[in-house]
Amino acid sequence: MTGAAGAVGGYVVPLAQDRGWRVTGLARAEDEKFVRGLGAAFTADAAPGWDAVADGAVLQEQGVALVRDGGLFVGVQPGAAPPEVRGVTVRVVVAQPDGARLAQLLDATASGGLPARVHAVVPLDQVAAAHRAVAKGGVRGKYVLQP
Amino acid sequence: MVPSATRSRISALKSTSQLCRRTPTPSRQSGTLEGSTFRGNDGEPLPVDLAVGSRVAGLVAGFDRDFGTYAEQLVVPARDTALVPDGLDLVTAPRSRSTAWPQPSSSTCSATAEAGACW
Repeated sequence: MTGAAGAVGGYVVPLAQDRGWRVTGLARAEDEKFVRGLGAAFTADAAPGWDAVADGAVLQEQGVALVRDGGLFVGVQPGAAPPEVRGVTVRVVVAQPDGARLAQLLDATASGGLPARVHAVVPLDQVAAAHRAVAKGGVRGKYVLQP
Repeated sequence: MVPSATRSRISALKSTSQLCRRTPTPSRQSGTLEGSTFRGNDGEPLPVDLAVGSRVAGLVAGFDRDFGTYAEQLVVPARDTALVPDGLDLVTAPRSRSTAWPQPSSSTCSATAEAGACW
């Protein structure tokens, strides 16, 4: 899981484990505690050879390069699937509304099975600063705008 | 109006106390409230399984649309929403969280929300 400490990665890691995958999270060294806390192994070294790569970090072609020959790459940018090479299957996911599934995910969040990461709760007049911080990168969790 | 839809008012300007009220906005209603069940002008219960004041969350998908995180009001299919569990507050369930009330004339329900998420 690339970007394992990000918003997508934080959800994919436990959900993939629920489906029987043995997951290793790729993230910055300072995120090791969080990634391991999700029950995944951890690496800060983007080395190739993985059966499947879920690309929360949007590495795209660089992410495909991490997959072994004939493996699976799952991207998160609809309409921007990287080319399939070396027999690697490329798929791209996009969120779809599903009330029943959403209820399950909310329950999992309430019970602690899924991480809910709030970086900061800020008033609306700080929205510009929040956007700048997100664009800069390195924010873990979401800004929540509140009156 | 989309049948069986939830109208969500996603606003960063609403306080929690405003959101949790069980009284719908009068200007948007034409039916009557009996407890938490909304009835249309014909007196029949509306086919929406959300009690007035329910805390709901939903997802508005896609990118090719003219509204986003800061929209003050949205209409989404009721089947795309879910109740927020009691153990989860509305800050840690930030995706389109809202409270709901039914709309009598079109099998819909409305909702206000307390905050928006910055993506």
